[in-house]
Amino acid sequence: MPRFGLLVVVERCQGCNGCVVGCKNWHADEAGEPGRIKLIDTTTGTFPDVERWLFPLICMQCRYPACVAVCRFDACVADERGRIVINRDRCVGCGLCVLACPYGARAMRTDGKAGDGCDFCLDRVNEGNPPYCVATCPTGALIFGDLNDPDSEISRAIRRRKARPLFPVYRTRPRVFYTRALKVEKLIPRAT
Amino acid sequence: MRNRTIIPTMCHGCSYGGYNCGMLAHVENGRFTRVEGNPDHPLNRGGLCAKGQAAVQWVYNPNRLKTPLAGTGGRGQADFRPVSWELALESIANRLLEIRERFGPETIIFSKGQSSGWGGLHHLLWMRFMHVLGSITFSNWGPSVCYSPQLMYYRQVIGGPTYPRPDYDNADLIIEWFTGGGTGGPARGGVETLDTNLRSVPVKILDRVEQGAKLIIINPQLIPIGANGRAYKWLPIRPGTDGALALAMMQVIIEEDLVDRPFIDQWCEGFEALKAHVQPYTPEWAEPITGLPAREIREVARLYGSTKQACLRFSEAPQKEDLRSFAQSVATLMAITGHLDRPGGNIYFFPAGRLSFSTLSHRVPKRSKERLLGADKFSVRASGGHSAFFPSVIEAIMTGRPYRPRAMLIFGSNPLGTARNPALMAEALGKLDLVVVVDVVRTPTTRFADFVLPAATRYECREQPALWSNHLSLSQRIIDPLWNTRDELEVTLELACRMGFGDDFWQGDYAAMVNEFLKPVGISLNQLKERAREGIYLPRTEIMDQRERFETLFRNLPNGKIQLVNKALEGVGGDPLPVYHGERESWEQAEKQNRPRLLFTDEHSAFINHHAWMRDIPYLRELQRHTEVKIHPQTAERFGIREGDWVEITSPHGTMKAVARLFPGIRQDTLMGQHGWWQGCPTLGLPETSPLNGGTNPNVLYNWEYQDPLSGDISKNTLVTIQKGSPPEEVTPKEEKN
Repeated sequence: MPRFGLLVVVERCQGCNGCVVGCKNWHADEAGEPGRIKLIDTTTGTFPDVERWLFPLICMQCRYPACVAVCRFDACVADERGRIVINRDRCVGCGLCVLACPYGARAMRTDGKAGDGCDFCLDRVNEGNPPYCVATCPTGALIFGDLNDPDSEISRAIRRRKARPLFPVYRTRPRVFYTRALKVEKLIPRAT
Repeated sequence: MRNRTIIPTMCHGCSYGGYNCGMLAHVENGRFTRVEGNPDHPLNRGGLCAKGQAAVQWVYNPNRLKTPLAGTGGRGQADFRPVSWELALESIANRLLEIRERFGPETIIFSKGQSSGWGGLHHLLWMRFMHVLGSITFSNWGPSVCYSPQLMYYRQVIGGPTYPRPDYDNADLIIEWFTGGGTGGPARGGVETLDTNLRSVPVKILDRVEQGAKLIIINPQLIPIGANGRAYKWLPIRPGTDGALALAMMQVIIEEDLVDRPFIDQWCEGFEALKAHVQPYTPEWAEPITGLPAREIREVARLYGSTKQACLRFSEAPQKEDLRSFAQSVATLMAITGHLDRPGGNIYFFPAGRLSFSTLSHRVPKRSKERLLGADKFSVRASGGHSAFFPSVIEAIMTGRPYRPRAMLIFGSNPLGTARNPALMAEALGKLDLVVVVDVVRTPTTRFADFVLPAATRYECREQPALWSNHLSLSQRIIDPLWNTRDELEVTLELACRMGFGDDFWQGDYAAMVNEFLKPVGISLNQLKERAREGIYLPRTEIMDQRERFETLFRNLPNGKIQLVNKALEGVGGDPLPVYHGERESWEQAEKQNRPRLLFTDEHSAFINHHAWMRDIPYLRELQRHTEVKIHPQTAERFGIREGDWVEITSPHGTMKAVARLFPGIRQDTLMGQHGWWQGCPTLGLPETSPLNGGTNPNVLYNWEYQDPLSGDISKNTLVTIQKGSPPEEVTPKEEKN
């Protein structure tokens, strides 16, 4: 059984927003709705010794998702393949999942209900294609594949680049990995 | 049952109508629903940037012009009534023929923007239209504010057909000199194009940097390609002083003998004079001018001089008024260090063929040619005198000297936004007898038009081939034109036929025109359509893959050699050896005149727009809602400005408004704004703003009379004050009600 994961190669992200807008394009989102991907653009340091960091923040596809844990209405569930599914009919818009996600990956829609989780574009993956953001990234900064297969491109890249999930301290077991994780996790605005 | 088709085409987020990324467009039940990158296209290999991903919203944009309009009020009033295409084209044809008869064909001006591509099918068709009409007044602001003035200097200094582009694939040192580093076209992986600027090749840079090449950024701000630990060095230069840096680098390289002696001996003349000339331009001399420590200048100079495979990209000049000092110095620097046309250096691209048909320039009467506006300018003469100098056109409209232009046909351009002096442009438009604007969306220029014609987006237009290097690619129609819009190429053909020029315009047969355009490469439109997904690769020519083609490159230079003491430039009032003049509104001048020491320039490109285009597209606009000015946090504190505040920026020439974005990655003495902001976005409830003084256009801050003497490049550096302000006034659009 494959366990799909994603690697963000921060060194190759140019911050073009291709994934951010591409996700909306592929899923035909209405304008003004929160997207599933956010771009972080932070500059630290004192001129002229500054560092600028650009990278996408995506739903971490946690094995033990905080959003599911806090939902009291079963509106937010992990299905048998591990993807997070929002049942809009059951969602009351309490917003607990937004608060609970330690990665800030969840947002409320303009209709007051919880925003979609990312499902790694399961329809595409079932047809043998990578998620849309991966396919569309102009610089190949996103690598998708089977984490259970030690010889997959993603497994090899994670080892070679010493990538790890952001904030492993939360123990949600994300399936999204980042290179330069120690560096970039400090730059993510925290929900609380 | 849904009826879904996938049509291969090219993206039109960048070079509209040019060679672009490959795209697969999804159509469901006649509706364009979404796009994806075409994995079989060599330029982007499946990738697409934000602009491309917003294609569907660009097509179904409620802001679009939907039907032909005829102006009923005075110029600038924007009182319009809808008219039929039939009536509009018949009236325009009659008016043009009448003006030609009464005042001469040279009084008719054609103005196109970058939007519809350079040198491509649009460009050639429109030139042909003008030539048959009898005018060569084919001009616009582009050549006065863009990268092309540099071409003139490069040809004069180091020869070659265009200018040498970085060979990233083989470079061990990459210097991005006031470029966007890919922000202009982030998905374009394979080419640095002839027809555009700032459209770089981030994929290649990233690949080389990962393989160990050093990346140096020379820019007042830290651009994205230099982020994520990629920049080996960032030289945060004071805007407008890049010529001083280049001269100082040259001084170090010559003094420390890091030059390429054999190349100089064989291919250059006048080295000893250059050596003596640059002696005073030490890094210590450049330090107070550029704001960069002398040791940093020295280090970068040594790196460039001692790295065999080192390339520079400099496509958009940071200095406009003093372009000569920058362009002349950098061209010379590349030559004497032996980086010219060698692997990993700066090389010339020769395409495997050219798509083209005759523009029938022999049909222009002698009288028209003699009355070319701006023929006194060296840049016009140097480029063969086949297009006018736009500032001279504006002067002629304003003064009636040497004669008064009467009509302007404006296709896909917004000269009111592009002009360094928008108010003057507005006044000039008001003095014309006929103004026709053809565009996809309303612009500030449309309100000065007698006729506004709604263009279809390229996704609704017929086949258009484009060639880069040896790859032939095709843009195709995804859906029929929406509303009452039409393909501007078909409109041009019809207008020509209505004016009695049918014999020269294929009797209006679009496919016949495209086939003639394709003829030089021996491919028919039908052949290309069959291979629309992957395109067609032409056989490579021998010269494409050669390097050190010095005999060919220098053949038009005196003695076939680079003249380091350039008599040709001297003869027309230029500098024989590169000299630093500096911009008139610079740090040094501020110090001398005790004026506010805050510099302003604009950053030229951003990921989510192509110049002014697509700012009304919700997917893109929600990423940046207002025009922004980048300001260092310490500078902001000094002026009591906080993140997100509306600010007023005032130069000696005007005032603009923008939202402050606090950014530690910019010099404290410099503000950087963005050009091309005026569009509203009704979907997100954002109003339109004015391109005139007090609006959101940085061009009001510059003085259009501050021009580089030979190329006519217009300054985009100035001294400003900044203070908290109110949001800009809203402009109420009138065109939409139709």
